Amino acid sequence: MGSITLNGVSKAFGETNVIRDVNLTIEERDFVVFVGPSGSGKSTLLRLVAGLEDVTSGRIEIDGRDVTATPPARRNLAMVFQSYALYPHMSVRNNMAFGLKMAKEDKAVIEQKVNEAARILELTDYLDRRPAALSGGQRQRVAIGRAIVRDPTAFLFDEPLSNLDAALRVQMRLEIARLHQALGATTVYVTHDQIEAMTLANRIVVLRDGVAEQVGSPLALYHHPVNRFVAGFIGSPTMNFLPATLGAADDNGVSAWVGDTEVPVAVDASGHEEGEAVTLGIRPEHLLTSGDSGLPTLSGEVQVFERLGGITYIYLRLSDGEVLTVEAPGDIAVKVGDRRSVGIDGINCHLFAPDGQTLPALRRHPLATE
Amino acid sequence: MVNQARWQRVGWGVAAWLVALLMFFPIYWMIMTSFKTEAAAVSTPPSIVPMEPTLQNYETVFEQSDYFRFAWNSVVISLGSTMLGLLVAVPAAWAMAFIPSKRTKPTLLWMLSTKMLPPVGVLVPIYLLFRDWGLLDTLFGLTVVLMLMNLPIIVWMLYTYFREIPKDILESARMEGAGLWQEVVYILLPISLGGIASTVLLNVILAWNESFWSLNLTSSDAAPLTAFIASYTSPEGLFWAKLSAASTLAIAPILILGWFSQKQLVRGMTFGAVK
Repeated sequence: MGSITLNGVSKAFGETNVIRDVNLTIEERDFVVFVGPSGSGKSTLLRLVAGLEDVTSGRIEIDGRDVTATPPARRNLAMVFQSYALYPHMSVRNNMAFGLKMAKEDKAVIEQKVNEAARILELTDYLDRRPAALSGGQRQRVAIGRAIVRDPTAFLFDEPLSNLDAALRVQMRLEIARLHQALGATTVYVTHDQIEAMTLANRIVVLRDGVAEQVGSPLALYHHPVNRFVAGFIGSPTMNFLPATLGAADDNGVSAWVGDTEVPVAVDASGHEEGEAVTLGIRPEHLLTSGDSGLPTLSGEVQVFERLGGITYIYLRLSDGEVLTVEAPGDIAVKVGDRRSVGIDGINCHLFAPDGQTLPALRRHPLATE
Repeated sequence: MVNQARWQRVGWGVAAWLVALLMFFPIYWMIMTSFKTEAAAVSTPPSIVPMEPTLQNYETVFEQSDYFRFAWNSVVISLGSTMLGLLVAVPAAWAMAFIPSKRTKPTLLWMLSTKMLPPVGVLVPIYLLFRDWGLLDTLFGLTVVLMLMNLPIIVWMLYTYFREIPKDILESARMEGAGLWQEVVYILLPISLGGIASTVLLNVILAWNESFWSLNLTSSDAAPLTAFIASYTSPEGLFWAKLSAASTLAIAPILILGWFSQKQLVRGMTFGAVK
């Protein structure tokens, strides 16, 4: 129980195509996160699954049943809204009981289910309060409680944590992960926060302009982004992109020239020619600041640095004007204006063709499951 | 500086009292006149308070006409037209607030613009229709006409209230299995109860005070209090004291209702104005 299939789903508002031909299978017990910048269509896609918007074309199936024309009330999905959307005129108890009342459940059953949910979410002491008398975190928990009492086919979350402060957000994130482990229900979760996406999901859908750019496990997206957009979107701080030129190719990959530095990268460059302009991508955490590693190096002048305590971000201006973000140890000795070299390991580099597509890696990262 | 602010406050206070007194004066004068003798009512200079207060006028009014029948008609018409209006306006306002189309705004403006036409413009057609359908001097006929006259205001007010309700809340109910009827009855109406109360009050008052249609479409059976007052302007001349007594009796119920619901009324009329 709980598989959702999207078949060529598109949605247009007037002349504007918001979702373009999305094909996606969400398996039972999956925790799928839709992630993307504002306006990428991630919330719309969720609302299409919910039935709150009608598809323009395509088909949506839940547990193999075509629900494309089924109204939201009969899809048996539970949704947690960004605004929580609690009923302001009802007590917490009645908020949580509403769905069950609509389903004409027995009074005693409702009572027992609501109490159980309240216990799990530590809301027992607040059952008779109105939402207005609750804190943000408590309201959020009521919204989740309202969803779990109904025992729905799947849970839909629409940016549920974006109204909470940073500390509470981390706490609720853990709580949602814990709930998913405990209940094992299929979950679809929309966020623009890629940390939420990475930590909660077992599969992430990266959306841009209504197109699903890549679908995969968090580590597959991190280690093997299919294009430059996904590479730049997943990971924080964002990946460094440097202009490079393709060098000679052999069985172990191809060499890329960044200025005078030759970096051997283990990707399949067939179909590309020597001398072609490409983009080399390397994440800040993969640049090495420690001594002589025997690796090719890039050097530049320290423009700014940010100390976060455990780590330091150094912004290095290269001779061609490009600025490189480098993750360094927290206690590294650094001054603005210093000249520094960083080691660059081809194993962690990505090459992007001029159209943004990634040149396929020769070896997959061992943790990067589909 | 402190002093200046203080004087400013006093100044505004005095001005507000003056305006209030000015507005209240006609009502005061009417009530006072109703306790005067006919002779005292027209004497010059007029006296601010009745020299020899009398209940004679009220006795005459109750003797000459059946006040309670007129009052009952007013109650039926004003409550009836408001309730009937709500039945039509709630779905209309719901649709306009929650599934607006590009024609919603023009429709609303068009509805409001009908309130700007002088009602006498449609008097003849409506009178003829009422005559042919046998609706003249019936409570039902007048109720329907007043409902139609006030419908734009009811729709506008409800629309303004509904628009303040986050769409998410209704969608959430929908996700939880509520059908349209349940969504409206269990969620929308309870949440907008305050707004609906203001709308009802304002429309009851408007319908209660309405005189154009009640004077033209009723004569005796369905005549409300406005017709009752008008009956004291007779060809033999005006009887100011009796007219005042009748008027006082006619506005008393609504004045009391308005007094107790001031807060709702003010909220209703300024709602959405300040945001």
